[in-house]
Amino acid sequence: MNIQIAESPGDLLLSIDGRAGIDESDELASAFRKALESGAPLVRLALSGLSAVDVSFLQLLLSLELSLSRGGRSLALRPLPAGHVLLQVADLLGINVKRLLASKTESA
Amino acid sequence: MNFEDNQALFIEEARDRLQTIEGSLVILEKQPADMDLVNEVFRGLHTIKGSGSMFGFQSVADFTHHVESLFDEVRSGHFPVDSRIIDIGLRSVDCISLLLAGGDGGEERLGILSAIEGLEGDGAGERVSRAVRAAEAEEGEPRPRVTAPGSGPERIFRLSFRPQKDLLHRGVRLETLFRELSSLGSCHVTAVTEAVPELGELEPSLLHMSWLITISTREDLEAVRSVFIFVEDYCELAISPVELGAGEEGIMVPKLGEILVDRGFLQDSDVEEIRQEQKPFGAVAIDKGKVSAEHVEAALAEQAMVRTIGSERESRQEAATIRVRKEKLDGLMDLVGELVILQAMMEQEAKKDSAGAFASLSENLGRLSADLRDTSMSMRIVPLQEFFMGFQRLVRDLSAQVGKPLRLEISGGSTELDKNVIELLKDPLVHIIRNSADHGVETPELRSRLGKAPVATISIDARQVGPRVEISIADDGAGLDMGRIRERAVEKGLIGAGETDEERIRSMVFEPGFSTSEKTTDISGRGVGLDVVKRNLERLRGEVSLSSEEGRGAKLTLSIPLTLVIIDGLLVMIGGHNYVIGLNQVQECVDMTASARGAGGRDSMLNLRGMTIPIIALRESLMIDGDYDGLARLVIVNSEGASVGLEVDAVVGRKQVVIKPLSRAVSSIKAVSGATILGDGSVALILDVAEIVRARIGR
Amino acid sequence: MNELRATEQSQYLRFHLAGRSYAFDVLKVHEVMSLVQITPLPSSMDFLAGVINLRGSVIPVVDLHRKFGMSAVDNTVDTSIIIVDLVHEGEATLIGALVDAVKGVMRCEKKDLEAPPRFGMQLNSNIVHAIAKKDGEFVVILDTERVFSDKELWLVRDELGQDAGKALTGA
Repeated sequence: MNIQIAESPGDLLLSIDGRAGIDESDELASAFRKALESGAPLVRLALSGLSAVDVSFLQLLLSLELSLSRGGRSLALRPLPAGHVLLQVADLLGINVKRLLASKTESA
Repeated sequence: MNFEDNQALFIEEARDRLQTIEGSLVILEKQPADMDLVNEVFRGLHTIKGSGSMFGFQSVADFTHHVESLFDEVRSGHFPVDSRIIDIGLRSVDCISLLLAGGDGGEERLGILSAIEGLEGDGAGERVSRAVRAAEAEEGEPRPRVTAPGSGPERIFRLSFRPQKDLLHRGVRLETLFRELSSLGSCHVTAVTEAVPELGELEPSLLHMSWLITISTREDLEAVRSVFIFVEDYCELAISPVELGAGEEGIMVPKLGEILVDRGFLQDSDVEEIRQEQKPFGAVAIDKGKVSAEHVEAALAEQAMVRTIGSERESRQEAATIRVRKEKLDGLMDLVGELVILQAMMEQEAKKDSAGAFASLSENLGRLSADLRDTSMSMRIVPLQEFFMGFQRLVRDLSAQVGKPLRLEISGGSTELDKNVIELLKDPLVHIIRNSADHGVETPELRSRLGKAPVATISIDARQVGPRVEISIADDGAGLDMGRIRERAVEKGLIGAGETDEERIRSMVFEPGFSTSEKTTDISGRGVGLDVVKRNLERLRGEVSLSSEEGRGAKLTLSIPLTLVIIDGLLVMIGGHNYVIGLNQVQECVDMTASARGAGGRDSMLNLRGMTIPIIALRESLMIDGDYDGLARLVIVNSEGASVGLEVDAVVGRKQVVIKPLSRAVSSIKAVSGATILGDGSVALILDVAEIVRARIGR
Repeated sequence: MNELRATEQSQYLRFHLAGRSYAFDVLKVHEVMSLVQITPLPSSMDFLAGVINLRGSVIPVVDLHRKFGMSAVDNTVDTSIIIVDLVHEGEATLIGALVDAVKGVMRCEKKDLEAPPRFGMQLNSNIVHAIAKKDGEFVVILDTERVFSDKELWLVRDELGQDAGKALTGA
């Protein structure tokens, strides 16, 4: 797994590639915490490079979203191709991530 | 589709219908008051007439018209069901088949028509045609046949799944579990995520979620529960079936509030309170904080599933089946088979790809092609009812021939089987039923003396047992004459005079040419015995077993795999080549011991837990030169009830293989029953174990 | 394409076998493939090399050396399998022929073809369609139907077994 953080005024972009499962969950959690601490009002995630995810990653996403929204901030996912592994697993587990994909304004 | 295709389709369909009509007539003869049967005959004839004229089979349509009119009269009570009606009906079925085959029916047709006229007498003709016009106006097209996949009726289960927090530490992959669950039927999953804490408090490897699942499936509760077998101890799991309330108009769809109360998320008083608002129930319930959004979502999903089942049951009344030529389905199966092979090749390549993207694609393709394979295979699978009904006529005719009153009882006709397999079962079943009628069942005089019902019963029953279908044919006749069988077997030198093992003696009837019958009749006993049935079944990878109770009757049970296209095999290696042995025949694999080899040659034996079993060196059977210098393995197989060890160089492992036809040019090679293509593109032969054993041991 | 000429001439796929030239009518040739792994069959017909995977179908391959009683030749990079279209008792089928090398398609006009001599042939003159002279050498044009018409090759099991066998393999 590979995580890259790019900060620009107003938002923070986290790109994650490779596997994001239970074994990577600690590393991911600390990356997410950093993003939270940055104070950026919008945190964006670029996840199209993920090759495998499991329930722990989705739980982290939900937790990050909750933490951001309690501080009046928001989380957005960059567009994912249809049938992407993240969408598949989320669908399978009955977790709604599509709302994170929609309607959030995002600079290109 | 062109006109010729349609014509061929019509003929095929008409033949199926005739078979049903025939079966109904035979039952009708015994239950003349059963108006459902009369209606069935009438509707069948009506359809044949209608589509016959549509596809240019005017002679069929014209003739059928008269017979149909007769049965319409019967339907409206103008004629009682008697032997003359049944006789005319059966003769007409034969005559229509003749017309379908392009004949003109000749005198028989005229004979039937004048028989109908004779029945109708004065003025009836007019009444008949009037009745037919009326029937056409009201009836329209009769309802097409219904085929329902799966085993049980569609049911809905509610699941509440609350894993322990440390579930993921136990190596459980929830994704796999949910995928398995969704393979049972249509499945709606809602994760309850309200307990997921903020990042600050989150222990990322612990689970803070639970799930509400609604599944609509033909499987039973146990099958649903078994998905959770590995996590049962680490979770709270509640599974409950949803009662489908049936009303006058079919299934009643419950209100959202009712579901939520039923699930224990709301009180009746809450429902009243929310209803006051006169706004969408779910939204108010959530707004008022009575229930979480997830619970509403799960309840809505359940409601939708009930609605779907309701409308499916309704539409099933009118039924949506289409007829497809078997060749097309076979073609589809071939393509799917190729896809499965290609996918296996890809999977092998994907294993080399460590980056993972290709591997996950390949995994998805694998799942998809497995689903596609199952779906297309299910298309060739049809209910046995129609096939079984065809035997009604046979039993009726046999009854007349042998002079014994006989009755055929059919059950389990909704059991489904591959159409290709069904075709191959016809001869064996005819043979078995003839045997029963001829030898199994006593004369009526003898039966009365024995205090048995004078009418003998032959019954056919079918049921699915796992991946196989069991068809049993039983009679309430005299049962096997064990003394006589033993006598004959000893005479023929098949067993020793001191043999007492009943099962061994019983198995003698499967020996080639074995017959205890003194006289040869037209019906059976022409030296073609149960051995032929047995061999035919083996070609279908099926098995036959026989049970009998003296004075009470005998029962043959045929066990057949659901499909012939894909088998579970054991891949073995001999002389550098791969071979496949059907897994259903394999008992176990053991190492070849030095002592067994020491005996040497063709006659070597193995002592397996006190049982001495013969060993066949497959190298010799398969004409492979040279010796294997490693430690050989023995695959213990069951062939014709006996254990035999097959010596191979190595056992590679279990594998599902797609059976490919061998060219006719090499179909004379007996040791091989087919071939398959492995993941690396090479061809592996599928061994005909029974033939190999027969050739070497000469059973 | 010169259509006028096409009616007068035929095309043949030329191949080598133990140093001599032979040919099949191109209209009977399904395709030519390089040597692939052949799975041997347990058969007493020693000329039957085995079966191969032709895009998902299992096709038998005949070793023409053995078929014609020639001494065996080791496989080389040129060794090829010619897949031939056959019709046996009204059923179309494919069969492979193992040859040393495929030499391409040759055109022959009718007048270039001679009837096979009755004597002095290594092969049974029955299976020879004609002899052609091309580029200074003799090419033996074979009759595909007859080459693969061996009774033992088409011997089928007893009737019951055969039907069931066909169904077993989904044919």
